Amino acid sequence: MLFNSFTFLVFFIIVFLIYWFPLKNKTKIQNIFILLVSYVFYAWWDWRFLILIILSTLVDYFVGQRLNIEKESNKRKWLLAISVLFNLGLLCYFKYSNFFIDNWVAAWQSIGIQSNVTSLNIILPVGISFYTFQTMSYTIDVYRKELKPTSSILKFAAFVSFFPQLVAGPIERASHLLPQFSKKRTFDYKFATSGLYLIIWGLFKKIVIADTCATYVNTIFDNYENLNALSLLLGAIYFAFQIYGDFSGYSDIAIGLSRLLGFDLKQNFNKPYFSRNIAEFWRRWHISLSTWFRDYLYIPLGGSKGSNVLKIRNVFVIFLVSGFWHGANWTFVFWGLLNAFYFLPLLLLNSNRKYLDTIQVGFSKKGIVTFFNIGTTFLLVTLAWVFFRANTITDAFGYLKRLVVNLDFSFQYLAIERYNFEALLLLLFFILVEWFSRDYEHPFTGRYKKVFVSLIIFLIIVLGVFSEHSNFIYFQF
Amino acid sequence: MNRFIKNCLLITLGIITVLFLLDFMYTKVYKAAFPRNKTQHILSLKEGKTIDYVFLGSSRVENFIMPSLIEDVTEKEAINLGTQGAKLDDMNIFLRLLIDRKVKIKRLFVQVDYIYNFETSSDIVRSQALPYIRSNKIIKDYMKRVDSNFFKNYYIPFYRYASNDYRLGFREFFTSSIDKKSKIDFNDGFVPLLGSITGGEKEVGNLPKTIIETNKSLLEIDSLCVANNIKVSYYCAPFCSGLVSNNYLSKLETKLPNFKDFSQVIDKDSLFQNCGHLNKDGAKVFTKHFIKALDL
Repeated sequence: MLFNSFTFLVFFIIVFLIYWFPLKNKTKIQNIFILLVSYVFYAWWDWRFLILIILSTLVDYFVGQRLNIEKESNKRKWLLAISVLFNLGLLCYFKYSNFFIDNWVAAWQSIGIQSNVTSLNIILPVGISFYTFQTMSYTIDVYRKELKPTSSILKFAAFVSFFPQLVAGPIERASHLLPQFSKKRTFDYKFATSGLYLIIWGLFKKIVIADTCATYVNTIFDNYENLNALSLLLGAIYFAFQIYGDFSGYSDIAIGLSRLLGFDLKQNFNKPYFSRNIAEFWRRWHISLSTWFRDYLYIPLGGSKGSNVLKIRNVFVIFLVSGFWHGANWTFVFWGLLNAFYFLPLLLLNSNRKYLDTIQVGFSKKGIVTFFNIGTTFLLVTLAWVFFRANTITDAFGYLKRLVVNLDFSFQYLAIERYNFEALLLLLFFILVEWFSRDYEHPFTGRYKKVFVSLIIFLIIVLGVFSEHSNFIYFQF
Repeated sequence: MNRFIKNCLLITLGIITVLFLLDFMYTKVYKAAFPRNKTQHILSLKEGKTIDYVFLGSSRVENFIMPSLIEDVTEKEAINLGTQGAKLDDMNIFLRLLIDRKVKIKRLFVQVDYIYNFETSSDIVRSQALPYIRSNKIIKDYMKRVDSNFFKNYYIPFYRYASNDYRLGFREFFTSSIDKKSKIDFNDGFVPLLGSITGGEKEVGNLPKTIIETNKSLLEIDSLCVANNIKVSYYCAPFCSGLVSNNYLSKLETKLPNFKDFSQVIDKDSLFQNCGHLNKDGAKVFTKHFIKALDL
């Protein structure tokens, strides 16, 4: 059940009406209802994998309970280990088994030994990387005594499976989301309207921007060997906007849907392509994952404290793990590695916390420098995305090599019967809207917001890609 | 809450109104536009027009037959209505539309090969026909039969354009509204392919091992031709030398008595772009061969 499908629209309208009318002011029953509809939502993909969510919920709930009463340090460590091993075990089995098997076989083959081990027939359960991280963060916080565990298994199960963010985040922290299941929810017009605006903007990003870019990206990446430098450059730019529109669009819809049910989720994207360096980009891109890795991996490893050797190690660990989290393919590992190389000079020069302010641009030397920094950061990020999108490492290098060596910058007519520059016109509009609304969570502000909302709805109808209900990219992670 | 629901209903009402308006606008533009596909071209043909030779088929007609060459050699008018991906059901609808336009066809050539085994229609022709689903009875009946989304396409405003955005979306609407001409001259209808099979691995094409008992669309084409006094000939266009025929064409011959098998008449693979498609030079050679073989 995709957010951009008619089935989901009907599903959500029914949920919304039942939630706010017959169940109004009945917090406990509302929680039961959320849990049930979340399981229905998930089961729509594959009901068999529901058991994994339920298991993960039970393990972390009971570990949390035990951690609360257990005083002995060793026993607490063991309890934490049970949760982490269980969740990472699930993730490793379903997501990484075949990667390790294939590489094991390839390693032996490289020295001339044939291995009989064959790949397993495993389906990746949707959202497994997200909900396992969400439940693990709960247990770790309880272990650290930063969070009091909930005694209600109902609230905890609803927190783990909350359907707006179940399959592709944002990865919520228990300290932020869990208490909201205890509060009485009253309908707030302003809050709900902001949610509706986020849904509309998210749909625009997904259906108009990401899916339009996807048609160009697929053609260009699938035929990169025959295309010129300009097409390849545009292909990389289109992918940068495809993945941004796709994932941030999903996050906006998830946050918007939650608001319609009276819940507040944390921001997941903050105009990342206007970042002035890579460190700022990672503070603005997939914020819930970046902060997860920061709090549960980077800082425990020592963070940016200690010797330069330790700092470098920590940066590489966090980016490699982040790359690997995205998928069981060397392309993601290399993407992570490349970002570590981008980040390292900033860390060593102590510039990684340089841009914490909002982006101010005027007609001045500083303004020009800001634009230059934004452009450079975008270019670096875009080049790294080539590894993220390519099917293999060889394809990624082949793509980049041809981009640099070909030197033909003429407009090409693509196999999709469109010129390679055509989607740029749409992107230009999108960039301008994002730029002028960079201090807000959505562009529907000011005097003319109703006119602009109408325009965006009109553009979704007219320019949206409805012929294929394409999955959200992050569902595969 | 009431205010919120009222606003949501207003938005929904606005969306429905926009859908009606857009549907009306798109349909109007597609109907009035300069033809940008072969369905539109057929619908724009002058009533009562006479065409000596009409060619129906898939890309294996569109890229193979050069009407201009036929006209040069025979001084008779020909039109290539081959459409990429077309099946016999699509040819059936083209023929019905031609008859409906009272076009007098002296001789009809239908290219049949493995498509005999398909009783489905092409989504390209289906989407080309969608703007006329409410205004043309032949198209309405055809869509009712072949389109699994007929109900939605017919009754939900703008659904047909949104769900076919790739072919009927804003881009096509815009180019149609400014009367931008297609690269193809539909009075001729030939679309050349460039490039050729080069060395390396030998191109191979496989025909099916089995053949279906009858093809309903082909039977309908046959009876339409009888009823309208149109002389019809069936033929199979050339394949490259790597064709594995699996005896399919001889089975086809038993189904179609006046069937001409041209599958192996082009022996140079350099005249093919791929095993199933001739390039421009190949089309020229084949068209000449065709004129001679069928004594046009």
